[in-house]
Amino acid sequence: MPDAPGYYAEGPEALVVGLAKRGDRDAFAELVRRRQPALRGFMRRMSKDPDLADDLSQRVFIKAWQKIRTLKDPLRFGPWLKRIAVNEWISQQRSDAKEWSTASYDEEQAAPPATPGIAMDLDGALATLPEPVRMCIVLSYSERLSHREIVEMTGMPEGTVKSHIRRGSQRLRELLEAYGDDT
Amino acid sequence: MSNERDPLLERWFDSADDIPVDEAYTDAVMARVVAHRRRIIGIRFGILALVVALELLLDSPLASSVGLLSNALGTNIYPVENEWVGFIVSPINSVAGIAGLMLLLLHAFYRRFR
Repeated sequence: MPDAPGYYAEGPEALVVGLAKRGDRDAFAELVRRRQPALRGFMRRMSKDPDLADDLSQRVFIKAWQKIRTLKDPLRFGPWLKRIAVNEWISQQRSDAKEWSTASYDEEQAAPPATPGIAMDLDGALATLPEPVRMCIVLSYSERLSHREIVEMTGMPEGTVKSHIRRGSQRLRELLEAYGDDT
Repeated sequence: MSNERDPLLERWFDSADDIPVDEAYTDAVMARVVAHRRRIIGIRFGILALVVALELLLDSPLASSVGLLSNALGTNIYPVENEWVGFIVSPINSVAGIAGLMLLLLHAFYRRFR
């Protein structure tokens, strides 16, 4: 595939989105280029498997391409893409027949790894949380969404979202302290 | 609704490494986009070919059925010699007229007993 012309790489995102809405594939490729670090990072934090995360993020981009004509405000491309990503993740969890939306915080599942000497990175710490808790934590801390936005995006009850964030934060904090990470 | 976040965790998330832009990934996405587009075009051509094939297959039987039906609907039940009288009573003196009356009766029954 040829490199995107300079005016795509330098153009404001709303303009590139507008071109992609009109079926310009080079413009969409530029959007993939711009948004892939955030989207792949989001999916990797949600998934314990980087390959699955990349596959899911690719699916998100393909859905975005299919639906981009329905996007009314090009300035809202980022949140719109994020919503598709969350829906894709939830669909993936449901297709795996995990009762993710009703899953409670499982102390056993959330136990730290058995090898405490290894360096604990963020993804590793997140992987110790149950899926719904992890999703709420990532949306809150990584994506900076408010509780209300998380409720709207995930369809979880408000109390559940707050509980997941509170307990997930506590758990991550315990892990941080346990590994002496003072970042 | 409180949206307070743990400052330590916030710093941890902020300092997490970003994934760098990977052109191979972009190419893989665009390859899937193109493949999807080709699949959609293929499906549309398939549907079009099916419709054309059905039209060609059913054209003759459909045309003859419609012709037979229109002939049958116009058939008089009782032969009337006088042209004017035949014209006036044609709404009830034909298969179409009787079928229409039957439909009206059925509709009336439906309205009454619904």
